[in-house]
Amino acid sequence: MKLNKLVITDFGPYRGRNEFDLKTTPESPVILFGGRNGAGKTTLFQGIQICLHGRSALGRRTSEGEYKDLVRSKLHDYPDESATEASIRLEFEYAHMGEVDHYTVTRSWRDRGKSIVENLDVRRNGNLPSDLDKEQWEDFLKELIPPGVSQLFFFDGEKIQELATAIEDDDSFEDSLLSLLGLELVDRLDADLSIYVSQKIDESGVEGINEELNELRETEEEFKQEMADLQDARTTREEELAEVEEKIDSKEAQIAKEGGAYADKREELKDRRVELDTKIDRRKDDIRSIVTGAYPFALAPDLCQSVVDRLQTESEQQEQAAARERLSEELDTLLAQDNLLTETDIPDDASEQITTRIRTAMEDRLVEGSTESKLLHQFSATQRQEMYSLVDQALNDVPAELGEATTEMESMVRERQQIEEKLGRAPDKEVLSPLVDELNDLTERRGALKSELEDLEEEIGKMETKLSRLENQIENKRKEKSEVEGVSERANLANRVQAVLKEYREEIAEEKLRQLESVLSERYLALSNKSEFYDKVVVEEGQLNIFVETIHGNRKPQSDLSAGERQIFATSLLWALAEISGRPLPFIVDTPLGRLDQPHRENLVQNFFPEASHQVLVFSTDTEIDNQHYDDLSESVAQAYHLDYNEMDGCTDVSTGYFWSGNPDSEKASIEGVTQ
Amino acid sequence: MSKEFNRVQIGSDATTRLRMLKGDTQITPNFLCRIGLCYSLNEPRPPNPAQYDSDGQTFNRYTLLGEHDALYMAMLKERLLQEGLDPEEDLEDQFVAHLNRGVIRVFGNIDNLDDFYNLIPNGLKETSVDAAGDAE
Repeated sequence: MKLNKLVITDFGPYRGRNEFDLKTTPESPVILFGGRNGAGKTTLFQGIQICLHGRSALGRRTSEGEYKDLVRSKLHDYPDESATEASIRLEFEYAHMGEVDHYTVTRSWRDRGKSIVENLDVRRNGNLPSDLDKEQWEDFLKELIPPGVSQLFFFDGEKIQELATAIEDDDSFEDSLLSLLGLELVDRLDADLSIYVSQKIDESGVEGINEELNELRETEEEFKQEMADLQDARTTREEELAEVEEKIDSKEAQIAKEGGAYADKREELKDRRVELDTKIDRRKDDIRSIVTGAYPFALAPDLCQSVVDRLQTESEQQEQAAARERLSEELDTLLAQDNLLTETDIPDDASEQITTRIRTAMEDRLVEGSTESKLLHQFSATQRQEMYSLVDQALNDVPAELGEATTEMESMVRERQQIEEKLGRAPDKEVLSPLVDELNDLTERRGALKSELEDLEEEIGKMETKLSRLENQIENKRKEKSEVEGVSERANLANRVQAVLKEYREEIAEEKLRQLESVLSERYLALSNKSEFYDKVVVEEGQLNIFVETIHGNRKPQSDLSAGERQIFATSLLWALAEISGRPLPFIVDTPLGRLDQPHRENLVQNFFPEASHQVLVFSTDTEIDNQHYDDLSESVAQAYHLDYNEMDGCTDVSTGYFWSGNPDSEKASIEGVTQ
Repeated sequence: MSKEFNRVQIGSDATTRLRMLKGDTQITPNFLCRIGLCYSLNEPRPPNPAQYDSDGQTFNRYTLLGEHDALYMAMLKERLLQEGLDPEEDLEDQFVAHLNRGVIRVFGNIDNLDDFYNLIPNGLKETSVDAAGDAE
């Protein structure tokens, strides 16, 4: 990121529009702002941060009210009244994915009496960023230049002072460090995952479902057992039946062999029985076909008749109404023909009487009945015809046919019963009698077995239905369970991710700390005036304890350094952190040299300002960067501004050049600044 | 047209009886229902829909009534008209009630295929038996 221009309007001591050209070159990366106390250096310094980050520029503990109060206090005081509007505009370029975009960010305020209204405007290459809504601009800027990171690049003497005295327990330092190490994001992900996991676990109820499922499975087991028992019983019966039938066959054969005439008679009867069975079956089919046809209607003959009567009455009424209407129309047409009666000898007055009479007589013949149709309109003519013939069939054919079939069947059934009786009757011969008795017993047993089997079949059928219903229930439960388990599966996954994150966090922290250690050593030695004596800086993990190690291997806690040394140390720490952040941002330094002694100042001016970044903005008083230092630095300075508070007018005059540099380019630079 | 309904659910009582009737006669529930419906329609007293639960078998009305749907519905509506009920609003409830009552009554009267003839009202049987007798 590189700043190109700052425009500040009616903000702080700056009256009207004040434009600062901030363009630098690689050879001359420094922009120098010189001003005595109260000239507006800090306002400018803060203004850049506020422009980019609004309220968050003041730290996360600043409330909206405090922020607005600050803005109100910064509205420029004109001699008679305060300005009602102010704005800060920052133009910068930002490289992203190898392309350089030019951004213009304008933050402006309007005093609405009670409230201050803030407006933020962002342009990319002169246009509204099409991929962002206005609401996202603030967040977009925070992504571009994270406030945590920007703390490292914006620093003033005060902050260095703070940092120098309490690196260990300074919150903002730790925040910056975390965000630098890319750990802010990791921590947030970790927290989000925790929330996710606890939600997911609440959602699931695996235990309850498991219990239900187990109960269902137990019932299923019981059913299956019962089913197996039933099937066993069936097999036993079937085997016994086969056995009994075999015995019957052999008994029959024995009787046939022994029985002579009796056996012949038996054969005859058995043939007749088979014949009857066939006929009975046929009659049964007949009955079934009648019963499943028009038969039901024969059960409610009166109602059938009522339906037919109603349909017919309604239909007649409808026809009558139609006929009446048609006749009336015809009559109208006929009577409308003037020549119908005039050509006869009937006098005119009589003709009218005649027509009236004809009409009345005609209408009397077609009595108008009730035209209310209750059923007719619901059925088509075809449907009605079908109904009529169906009713006719039901009331006439069905009883006769069914009566005949039933009578015939009954007589056949009776005959069959007699045959059974005859077959069961014991013969006279003594030899046969016990055989026939045995046969009768066997036949009885066969009948019993068959009915038992039928009962069993029905039981089995019922059990099959019960089982299949249960299986459905189990299947549904299982689906429910797997859905729930899916949920806990994801929760597990989240847990594992958390574990990995923890490892990652530790490793990356370790790696970044080693990096910090090495960069910090280098930077500190570059700025310290004891570089001959100090060897390196050691950062201890965990508590972030920082030591300076001497060439003799002695460790000196950072807190044991002198105040000035600590300030230098803090500066180099910021420098190192900024460097390992990997974000090429401009360094903006406010009154950096306050407490330093001359050698340290020289180090800073010679080693830090020109080297710290591709762009360095330095805000200084005339006693910090003095004539001597200015000369040392001047090669690196791309532009210098002099901020001079004019007590008469109550505002700051801005001119190019440093305090005393009777810079002949001053006028020219100013013009350039404006025209650019 | 009438208030249409396609799904017919009968009570658990009737469902059990249909199954047993099927065992006795080898006639399927759809036909047995038609017989029950007409049998109930011929009874003088109206059925009470509140008397039957709806936990039994479900039928599709058109498979239940088959090709003679029109006449069955006409008869039911005629009966509703005679009883002063609304042939549209009360149709479904009354239909189901008649079905339930009819099936239960038919079950009480049918043991096997011979018995269907006995369900036909006597007036109708005498004339037709006479006619059949004449024809012979």
